[in-house]
Amino acid sequence: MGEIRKKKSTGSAARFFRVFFSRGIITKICFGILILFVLIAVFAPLICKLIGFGPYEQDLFNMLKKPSSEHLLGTDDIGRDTLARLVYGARVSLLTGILSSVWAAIVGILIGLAAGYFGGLLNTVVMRITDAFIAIPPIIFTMVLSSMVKGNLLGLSLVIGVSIMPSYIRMVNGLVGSLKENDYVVAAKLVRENDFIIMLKHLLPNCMASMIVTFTMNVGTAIMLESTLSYLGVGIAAPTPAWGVMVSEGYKYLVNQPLVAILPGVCIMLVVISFNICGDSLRDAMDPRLRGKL
Amino acid sequence: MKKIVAILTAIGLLASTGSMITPVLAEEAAPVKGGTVNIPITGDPTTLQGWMLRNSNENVLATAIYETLLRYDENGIPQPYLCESFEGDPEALTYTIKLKEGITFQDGTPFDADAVVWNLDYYKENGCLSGSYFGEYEKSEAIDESTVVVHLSSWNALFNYGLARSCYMCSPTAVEELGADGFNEAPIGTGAFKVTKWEHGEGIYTEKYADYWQGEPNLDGVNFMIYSAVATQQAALEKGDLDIINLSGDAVTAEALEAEGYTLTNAAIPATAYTFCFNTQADTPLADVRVRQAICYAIDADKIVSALLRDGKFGTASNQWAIEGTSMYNDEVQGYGYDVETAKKLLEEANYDSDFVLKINYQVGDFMGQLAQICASQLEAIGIKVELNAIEVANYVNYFGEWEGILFHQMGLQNGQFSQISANMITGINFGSKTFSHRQDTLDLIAEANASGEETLTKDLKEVVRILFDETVDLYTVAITYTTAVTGPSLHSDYGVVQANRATWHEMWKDAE
Repeated sequence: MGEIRKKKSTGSAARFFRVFFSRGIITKICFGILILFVLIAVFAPLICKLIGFGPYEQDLFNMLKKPSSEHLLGTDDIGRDTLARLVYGARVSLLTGILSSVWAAIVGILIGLAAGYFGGLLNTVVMRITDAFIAIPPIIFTMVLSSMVKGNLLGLSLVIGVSIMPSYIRMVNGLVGSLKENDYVVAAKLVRENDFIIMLKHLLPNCMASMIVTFTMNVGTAIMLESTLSYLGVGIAAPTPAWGVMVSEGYKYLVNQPLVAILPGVCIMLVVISFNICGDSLRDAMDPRLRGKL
Repeated sequence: MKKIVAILTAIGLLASTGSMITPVLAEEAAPVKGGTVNIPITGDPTTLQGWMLRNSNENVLATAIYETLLRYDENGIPQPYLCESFEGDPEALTYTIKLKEGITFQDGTPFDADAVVWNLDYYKENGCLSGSYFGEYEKSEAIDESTVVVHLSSWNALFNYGLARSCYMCSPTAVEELGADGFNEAPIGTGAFKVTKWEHGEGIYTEKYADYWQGEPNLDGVNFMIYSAVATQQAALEKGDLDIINLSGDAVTAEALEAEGYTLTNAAIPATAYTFCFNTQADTPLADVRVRQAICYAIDADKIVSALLRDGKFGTASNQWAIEGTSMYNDEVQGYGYDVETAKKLLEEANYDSDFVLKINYQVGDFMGQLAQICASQLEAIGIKVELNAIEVANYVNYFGEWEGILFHQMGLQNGQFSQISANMITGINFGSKTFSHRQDTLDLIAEANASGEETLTKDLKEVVRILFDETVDLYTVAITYTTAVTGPSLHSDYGVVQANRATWHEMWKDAE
């Protein structure tokens, strides 16, 4: 029996990965990029030790140097090693992206679940407030709120989390609205199972596939938002090595030393595109019914 | 023989051709009439009203449109400009201003004693720096068509600095006809160029004022176009959309353009002193003078200037708000050289609380951002944790009264150290009202300087400088920058001087296209 189950799970995992990578080489490349950036973020201190420079180390007499054997990607406007800052920037971006999505998912899913399950006035109020949130462009919303958190990574991730939360509320609310009519939910209600148990045990697991897809997509969105806010000077504060900050600081040397601004820009682009494409592939693999719909 | 004749003939022809070239060259060197010059500003001015012009964008264009009764010479000392003479009588508490003749406003109305009286009264009520410079101004009267007598409630020896700084002469007729708001869109001064259009978000267009008192300007117009970033300014200059760009503390761009053949001209008077203004009054470690001294010792200003400002090419180090060798510089100021060990020792003596986070507030800006990060790093080397707070331009003024930690301020130096000390380091004004120590002896010395003649004024204010920078350590200068004008080869003028409020706009000309 155990062997059959093992075979079954091996088979479904293989099917999952087959479908996940079915979009061709692009998904494989993007997946590889994400793994690479995660590894870079995790081993940032080690990498900096290897290259011999920290992200904050200034060398005023080596400002805006072109790539060389000493500084592989050159230096910025106060002589800091660009590669070291990019490596630590991966940490900041991924951490902000993932944290924001985690906050948004936890709160958004709970609110959407409760509103969808109980319906009535609660659902109407929650959904109208959500609609109002969605009507505000996320960049404006986060710009206003981020002035309160003053460049703090945790605070900024909360602000970004609030701005992407409506997507979870809407999605979970819609799913729960149809799932709660299923027989197993009706049966659970008839045997007077606790509402809380019904929501967490019967409804939430059935929303998981879509939630994981939304989560992945939202990480990319959150990274983009963080970078934009940092570029505008209201996100992560200098001298923290965030990619948006690096683009903002390097922008004035676009003519004379373009790499300083272009490299972090390329990193942002690669990570955001990779998250989006992997999100699409994940959706295909986890919920074939939604393929091409989200 | 024929050959000799032929050679001589050829030489004669060449010589005659050469003599024809010389006058042509001489003609080319003479100013060409016509053409328009485009100069960048980083954003819309907040105002074009002559009595309110103050910020950096407004300063770029102010002297093309408006002029002042006095203007600064190359040492930052006010000299008569729209007037023949400016004489003070401390006993009678009056200044007598004898105006130049033949000057008219751009609307054709005369610039006479009545116009000056109107302007001084209006500035007293509405001027942006009235509180700093017009505190003792009581009234003025027109004695005749070209003589004005200013009456003061008590003597103010620095009144001339106020007149030279931002008291731009506006056409009373235009202000009264258009109202203050209307005048804002169509300002009228005595300058060489008259505003024809202010396209908000795009730029300000002017045309020459043909009856300008120093002669008809060479250019048809000067336009001040909005290019917010240096990178786009540089690209526009290279493309020919701009004729000039002004840089401050940006050695990289300046040197790149210099290598391409552009001319760099530093303003005669240094532009900005990047200064730590300490909050000495709050209940924080900064209240202890030893902590402030330690901070000063921890900053390697020479290294910063050497690396960022190319050893004096684009700026210099100084222990005050003046440059060594100039008339307002006080040699007795010791300053605080870079000495990490002494800094650490002072912190120890002061029982510095290592949990304290020093906040450095600064107005966003490319060079300022660089400086702030470098200073933060140098302070962290002696164990001071720093939090940088970059403030948007529009919000910056809200920090003037009180700030947490240090206000890393860009102190304008175009009107000299004495004027800034006596206007800013006093009580009763907003700047630093709740943060500077305002020690009684400095206030007394400033008051005495204001009420004295030139000699006492210099002595007193130099002493105030010494106290503020050395003893009370309210202030510490990290670096002083020059404004560097980058101009193309087709433009002819000393534009660097123009930037120091010493306008020669009417003499500017560019090669015919």
